[in-house]
Amino acid sequence: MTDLKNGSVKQTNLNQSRSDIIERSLAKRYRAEKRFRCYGIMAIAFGLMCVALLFTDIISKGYKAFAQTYIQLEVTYDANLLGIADLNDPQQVVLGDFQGIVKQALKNRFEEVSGRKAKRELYGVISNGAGYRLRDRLVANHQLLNQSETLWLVADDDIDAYYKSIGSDAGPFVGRMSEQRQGWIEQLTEAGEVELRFNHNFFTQGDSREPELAGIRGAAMGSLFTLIITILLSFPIGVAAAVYLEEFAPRNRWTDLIEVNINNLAAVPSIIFGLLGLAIFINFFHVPRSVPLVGGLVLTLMTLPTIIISSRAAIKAVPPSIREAAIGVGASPMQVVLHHVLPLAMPGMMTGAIIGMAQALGETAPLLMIGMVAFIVDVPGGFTDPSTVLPVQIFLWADSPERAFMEKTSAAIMVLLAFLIVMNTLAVILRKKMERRW
Amino acid sequence: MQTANLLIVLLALSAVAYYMARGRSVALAQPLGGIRNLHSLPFFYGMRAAIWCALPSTVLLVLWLLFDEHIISTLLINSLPEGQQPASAAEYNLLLNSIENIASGALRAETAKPVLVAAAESLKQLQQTGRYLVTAVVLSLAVIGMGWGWVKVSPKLRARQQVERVFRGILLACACVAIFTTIGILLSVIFESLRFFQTVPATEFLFGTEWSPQMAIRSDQVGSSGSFGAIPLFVGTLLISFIAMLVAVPVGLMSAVYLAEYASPRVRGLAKPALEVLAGIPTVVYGFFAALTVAPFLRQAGEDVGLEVSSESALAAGLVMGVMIIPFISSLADDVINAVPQSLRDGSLGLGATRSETIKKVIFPAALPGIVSGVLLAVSRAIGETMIVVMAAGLAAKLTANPLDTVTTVTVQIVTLLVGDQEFDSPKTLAAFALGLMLFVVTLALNFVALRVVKKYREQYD
Amino acid sequence: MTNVPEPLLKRGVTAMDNAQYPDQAVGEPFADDHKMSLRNVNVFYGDKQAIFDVNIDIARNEVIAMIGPSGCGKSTLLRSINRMNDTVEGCVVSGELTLDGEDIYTAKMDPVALRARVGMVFQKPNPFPKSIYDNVAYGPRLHGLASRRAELDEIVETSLTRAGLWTEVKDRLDQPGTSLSGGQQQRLCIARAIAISPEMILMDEPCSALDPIATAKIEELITELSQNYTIAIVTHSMQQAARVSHRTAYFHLGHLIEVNETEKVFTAPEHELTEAYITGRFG
Repeated sequence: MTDLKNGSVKQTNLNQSRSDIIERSLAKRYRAEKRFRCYGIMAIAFGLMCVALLFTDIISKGYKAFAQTYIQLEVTYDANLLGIADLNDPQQVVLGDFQGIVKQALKNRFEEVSGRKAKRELYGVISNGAGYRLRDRLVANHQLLNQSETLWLVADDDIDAYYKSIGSDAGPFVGRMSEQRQGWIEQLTEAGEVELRFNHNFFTQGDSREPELAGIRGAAMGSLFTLIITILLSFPIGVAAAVYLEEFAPRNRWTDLIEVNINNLAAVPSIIFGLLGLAIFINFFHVPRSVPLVGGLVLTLMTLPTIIISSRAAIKAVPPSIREAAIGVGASPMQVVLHHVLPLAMPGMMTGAIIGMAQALGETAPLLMIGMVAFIVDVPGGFTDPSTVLPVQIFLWADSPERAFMEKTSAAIMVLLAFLIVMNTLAVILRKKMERRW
Repeated sequence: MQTANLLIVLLALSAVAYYMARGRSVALAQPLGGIRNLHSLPFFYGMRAAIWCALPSTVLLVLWLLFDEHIISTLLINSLPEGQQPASAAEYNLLLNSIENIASGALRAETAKPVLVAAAESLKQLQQTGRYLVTAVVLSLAVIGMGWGWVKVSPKLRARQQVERVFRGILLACACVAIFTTIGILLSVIFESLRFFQTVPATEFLFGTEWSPQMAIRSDQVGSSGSFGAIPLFVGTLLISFIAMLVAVPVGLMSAVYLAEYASPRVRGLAKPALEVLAGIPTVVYGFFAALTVAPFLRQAGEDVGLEVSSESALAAGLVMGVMIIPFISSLADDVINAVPQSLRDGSLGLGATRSETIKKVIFPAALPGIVSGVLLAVSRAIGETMIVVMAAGLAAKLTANPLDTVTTVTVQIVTLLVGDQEFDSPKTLAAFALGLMLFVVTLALNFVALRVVKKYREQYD
Repeated sequence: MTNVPEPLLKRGVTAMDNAQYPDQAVGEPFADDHKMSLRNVNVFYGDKQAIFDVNIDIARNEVIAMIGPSGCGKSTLLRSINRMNDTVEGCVVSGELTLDGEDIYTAKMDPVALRARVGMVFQKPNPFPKSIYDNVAYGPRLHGLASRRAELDEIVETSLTRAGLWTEVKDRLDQPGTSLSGGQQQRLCIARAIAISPEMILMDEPCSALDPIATAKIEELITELSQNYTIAIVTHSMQQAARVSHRTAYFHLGHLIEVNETEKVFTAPEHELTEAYITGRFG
């Protein structure tokens, strides 16, 4: 005790030297502090930059796909050229040489063009699909036969790429454009017979080998049908499983096993679910390939863990006092769940379901396994029509060599992202609404 | 009748059953002095009848839908005359296919063997009969159930307990879907892998360094004999995952730290959701970005400094995959950092530590188990990620650790082996399942360990 | 120093309340040989005022106890003495706080260096998830107080000895600090605080999470430490204040009501609010 008292004077000196030591190292420590803080800011900045880069990259590549180059031509529905004598004979109409009248129209517009090679160049200016449009018009209005009309026709993808890039900083994109073609475009431009118009095809058509004709409607409908199957199966099953685990399951090994299982399944790579779908659904149960039904089944199994986990969280958030109150007035366990727990937990469960659906909408890998990568032109009309889905369509287009498909791919990505943003916003709004203080 | 129509009819029948049984219970209660003298509420009597009507018939219908093809084709093949019976499984499928094609008109009947044409006829017949039969059986089951539910209504009937038992049973069945999924995954990959290991020894698969899955279709063909050494794939997968982790771990961790410990609420409110956008972007979009933007950029940059960069370099795929995983790591790290009690921060700050010292010396060590398991989960994600590598990494199975070179991964090979038309029995296809098995086992182990560590960690600070 | 706008000062305070509070704390809030002195201190959380115009001195080597009903702002005041409140979002301290005559809220005074001089012990024992040794060595290592391992060993031993923990833990210094009992953990935290030889120690209800025996040990320790350190202790227990402190300050809803010799406060309180509190009419 006395020892300590005598030390008091020494202590003051000690304090002094101690303070000095601390002061001296302070600058260094603050530099370290600053550095560390800087790393944090850099990390955030890097992340945000990636977000910005990704979006600008995709938008800058894709926004042009929403417009399409059209060329104005005067076409004559010449019965002889078409080889159609009777419009009521479907066989004749199908076999009619509509592309031929497009060629004729081009020939009329550019009378000076001669020689086989030059003519072939010329015919390639208009898309191969233009004939179908003429056929549809003729079928809709039989009077048109042997008449002429002036129409805006879809230009070929090379022309489209060239015309869109005129006036850009890097100069027009020449690619597969001969000087001859450039000259024609110039002529048409001067005459006001070529222009950019809204790209209807992109939203109303299925896939095509011709970029200027390819659209996302087929893939979008495929996604819709697949998601309908997914939500119809995974939401009820997921909610039921969550209710069982939270409200009824006895605490035993069996329940533990289910729980561990669900948590692990949530982290299993999605491609494994594709293998499962291939081996079980397709090879064992003989569900047809490439159809929304099998896609929906696979995605159901994949999203189920997400939905179960979020539904359980929503059920957990319902305070026990409400259950006790209901049991107290004599409600059976089932009534407690149906009358009280489920209605209160519903917004939370729906949030989970929407997030699960967003996940399913963006999923590609497992669908590759079950044959949803086929090239499908027709827009699917049901759950058992061969189809593809939006992300797979993106994958397919990204793989295509044509330059014009890159534009389409980016545009399809924009559409997909728009859907995802809408879904996630919905989830956020629901969650906000759910944030209720008990 | 079409399945969908049948289901609608079943639904309608059970609604009828509900109202009839409910009405009967109310009627029975009338002379007794009101429904309070019933054992259960009329609702439960109705539900009980509806369940009796719908459940057995639906179960039967589902069973039929699952197995109808098996049953019909077995019947069909057995009906073929002696001598036309298929000898092997492959022949069986071939035979079945051609019969089906004749039946559907895809194959011209005139050109086919008369036996097969006859078989096609009987196939149509069988399908027709099957449909009629199942419709009849399902509907009569439903009607019997409805009647049973109606007849048994009595004031003493313990309808509520019965309905609740069924209700619980259905819930349990739904919870078990998860188990069945796991079993399904295991069965499908293990079964096919075993068949694969019969042709290719497991040791060759696991330790071989040569991967070229092109098998000769006929034994007399020269050239591609097919070799299935998966080491190059494992190395490629690890290389790309490693690059991804190199990006994702520091960035994810530091942004979580900054948001949790430094950022003002306003910055946090803006930056956090903005970073989470990265988590919501589909992987196919990342793949597109990697293949068409990052890879060409790296190639160009490499050229400028005189480096040979492959256009399908591991670096491009790894970088983009890293970006994809950033939000995953940062949200997991955010959770564990927030779980470290404030008292520890106070203790450290109270001793005169700066914030960064507190983070480095107290919070990181305290949160370490959580962070490690988060990283493990992220690794399992990187290993299983498919689209980015399918689009941005190569197909050539090179055994290299050079990030500028092209490598292939397990998932890429699974996709290439299984996409497009394939025979289900060739070693090439089966190899994909063996790879799937490896992938499943490795990711499962990683997840299992990580989830356990996280759980322990949570309990520590709860 | 932050200037707080006039209306802000008055917000949340009704005229009725004001009538009861003395403009200046009654008793003897001031001391000649003061270690720490607080003048016109106000503390705000956002636009809520937690401390109103407090003037008090803390004398060298004394133990001063701060008591009062929950939410009276004693902990808040304590945390502004070593600027722990800096870490709280939206917390503003105004007025003059000096340590040995130095204003602690100027730009020149570094909060890190300040906290090395004014240590703190918290309500709940909060040993770091490290070994006992590393817990005690944490501060000295941070501030570079020991250049050699032997020096560090010595600091750890002295601090643990002073905290009365050495004999109990000397054989298991490498075990985690969290493996100790609650009372031992709190003494470990005290050892950790004194390992950097602060000039003053702030204790925020150090015994509230402990059982009576552990509490007794801590109180004994406080008495011993008062030989060398200036100690300010916030406590909920009036008995504890009576047992360990030289002077006692009574706070009421952010106002300092009375400061006096401990014995006087508990036997003959000057202010009616103090009397009401110690006789148990509220609290």
